Amino acid sequence: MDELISKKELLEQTNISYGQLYRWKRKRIIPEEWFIKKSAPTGQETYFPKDKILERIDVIVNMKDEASLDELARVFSAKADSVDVNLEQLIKKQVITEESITIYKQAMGHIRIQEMKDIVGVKLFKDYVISGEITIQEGVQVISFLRAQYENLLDENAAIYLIRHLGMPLVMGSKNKEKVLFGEGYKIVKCFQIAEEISTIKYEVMY
Amino acid sequence: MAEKKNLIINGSGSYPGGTFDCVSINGSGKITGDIQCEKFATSGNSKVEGNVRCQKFVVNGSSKLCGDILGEEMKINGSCKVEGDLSGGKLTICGATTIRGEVKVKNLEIYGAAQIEKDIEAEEVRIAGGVKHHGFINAERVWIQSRASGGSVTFNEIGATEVSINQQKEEGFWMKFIGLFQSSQGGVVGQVIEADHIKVESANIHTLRGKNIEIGPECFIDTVEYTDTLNIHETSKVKSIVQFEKSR
Repeated sequence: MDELISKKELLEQTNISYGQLYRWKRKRIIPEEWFIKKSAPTGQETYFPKDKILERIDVIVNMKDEASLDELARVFSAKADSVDVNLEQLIKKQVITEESITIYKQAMGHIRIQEMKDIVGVKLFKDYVISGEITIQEGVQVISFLRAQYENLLDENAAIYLIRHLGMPLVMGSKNKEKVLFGEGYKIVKCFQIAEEISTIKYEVMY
Repeated sequence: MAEKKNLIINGSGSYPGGTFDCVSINGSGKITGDIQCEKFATSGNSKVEGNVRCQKFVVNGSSKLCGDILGEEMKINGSCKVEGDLSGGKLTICGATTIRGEVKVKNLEIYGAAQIEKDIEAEEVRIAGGVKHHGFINAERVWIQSRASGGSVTFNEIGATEVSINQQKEEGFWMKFIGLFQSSQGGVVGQVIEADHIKVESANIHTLRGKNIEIGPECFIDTVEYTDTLNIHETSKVKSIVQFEKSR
């Protein structure tokens, strides 16, 4: 599980105000799922996944003058699919490569790259298959799952798991990655968070 | 393009829904499906089983709306029950209304006795009537005005940039007379307010957290956590005060 940071610590560390925090939540720039309520000695306290929220606030604070909050909301909301897929720019920014597109098309059977889910697929191929972390067959399994369950995987907490058991790869998805239990002997090779991949892609396309 | 028609139900009619220019239900009319229209108006004892999507939405009388409501300008005057979420531009509630879902609008004004069961999100929230809210209010600015002569406001949590709670002074002899028999404790009761600027009067609140906090007369506060400034009126009581490092 991710390391958590309390709201008080977060405001102190990042020097943002309550007003900003709640405004960004209203605009969906900070997802609702990141506000985690837990009971504390002083009553109920709100916590956040530390690395994610610090990274996000850093982006927001640095971008604030250049982009409006609504533009940022489009970048960070996986469900708002309003960014044009521009392959050339994505290659220029090295989000994907020519090589990954070729291998993706061969492995998946000549799919045209035009929607966000294709781009996510190519990016996963580049980041994990070409880098050697997972095999091509495993990559194909993951992408097939992604294509079939795309709508369900757009939640911030949703994830695809690639697991190995007795050397056999298995792919499964969860709408909430915090609530999955694995038995002994099941090795989690990789946990793919699609909402995060999409926001990285959109961010690179826009800026 | 086909010209849109009006749907008018007088008496006890039932209609399956659809797209219209203007929908008007008088009497105990019922719509069994989704409605999309420019103006939706209902008086009397009506019921809509589907969702409503419109520009202008007016409810007079006791209506029951089973689905979600999306509208630019919404006004609820009677005793209305909404089972789903309410979202859009401006929502004004003047009657005794119960909303079971979430409210997500730009402007929310409540003058009647409203009960909203889930969270509220708005740019501006103005409450001047009796309200019971158990969820979270997330807004840019929140104004709450309580009256000594009735209409208490109960809330759970507010997160905002600016929150202001004040008590309206009662005018006239009889109102002052009635005031003598009422407890002096504030008509506003809440759990937590987190905001940059907080100003409270006649309120009973567990925790205030913020940058600049001004506690006016007749308040009972358990904990105040602040960074920049804090003022407390002599007639108010605060149990514990913590100052954090001033924000830069």
